[in-house]
Amino acid sequence: MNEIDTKQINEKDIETAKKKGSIFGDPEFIVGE
Amino acid sequence: MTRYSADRALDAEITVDFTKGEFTSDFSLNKSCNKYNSNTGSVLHKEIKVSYARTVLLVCWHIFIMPFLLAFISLFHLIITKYSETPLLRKHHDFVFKEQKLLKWCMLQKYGSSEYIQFGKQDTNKITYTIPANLWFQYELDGEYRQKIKTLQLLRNFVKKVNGFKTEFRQAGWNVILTFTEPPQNGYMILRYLNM
Repeated sequence: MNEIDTKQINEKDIETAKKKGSIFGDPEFIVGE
Repeated sequence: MTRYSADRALDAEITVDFTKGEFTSDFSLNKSCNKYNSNTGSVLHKEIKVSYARTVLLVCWHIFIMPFLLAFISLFHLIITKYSETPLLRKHHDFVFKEQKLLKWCMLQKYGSSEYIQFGKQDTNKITYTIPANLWFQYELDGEYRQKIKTLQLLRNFVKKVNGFKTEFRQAGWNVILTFTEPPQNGYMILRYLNM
C-alpha cells in the first residue's frame, strides 16, 4: 500500500479553497467550510 | 462544500498545493509516532467571567453527560482505528468523516477552540504555527494572503527532549505551514484550531 496518497482538487474548487477550508488529520480536506 | 479524502483513515502529514491543485496525505511516519499526541500549555493568566447558573450547568454537563459521551466516542474511535485499514472502511469515508465530526464537536465542548490571526505585511514567504492536535483546524485567507498562497501543510512538530537517561525527539503537536509565492503585503489569515 502506498505511503503517499495524492488526490486531485477540482479546478472550480481551487479558488474557494484559497479562501477558506478545513482539515481533519485523518485525513479529510473540506473546501469552503 | 466539497470533501477530499485519502484512501486510508489514519493520521497523515498533509500538503495542499494550490498551484498544482493537489491534496497529498503522507502516512510514512505513522509507524513510529503516537497519533494521540498533544501538548499541555501553561496558564499565565486566568480570569473567570461566568454566572453562577452557567457554572452549575457546566459542572452538571461535565459530571453527568460528558463521561458517557466521551466513553461512547472513545469506543467508536477504537473500533474505527482498529479497522481503519480494512477495505470495508476505506470505501466508507462518510463513516469516518461523521465520526471525526462528532469527535470534533465533543472536543469543542470540552476544550474549546482558539484563533490565531496574522495580518498586514510579512517579511518572509512562509508562516508557521504550531497547533496541539490535528483532529481539526480551519483557515481563512484574504487579500494577498489568498492571492499568493502556494501550499498549506500540516506536518508533525518534533522537539528534542532530554532527561538523565535518554535524549529523544518527540512529537509535540503539529505545524501548520503556509507558503506564499512571495511575502504578502496586505490582507489577513485566520487559523482556528482545537485546544487539546
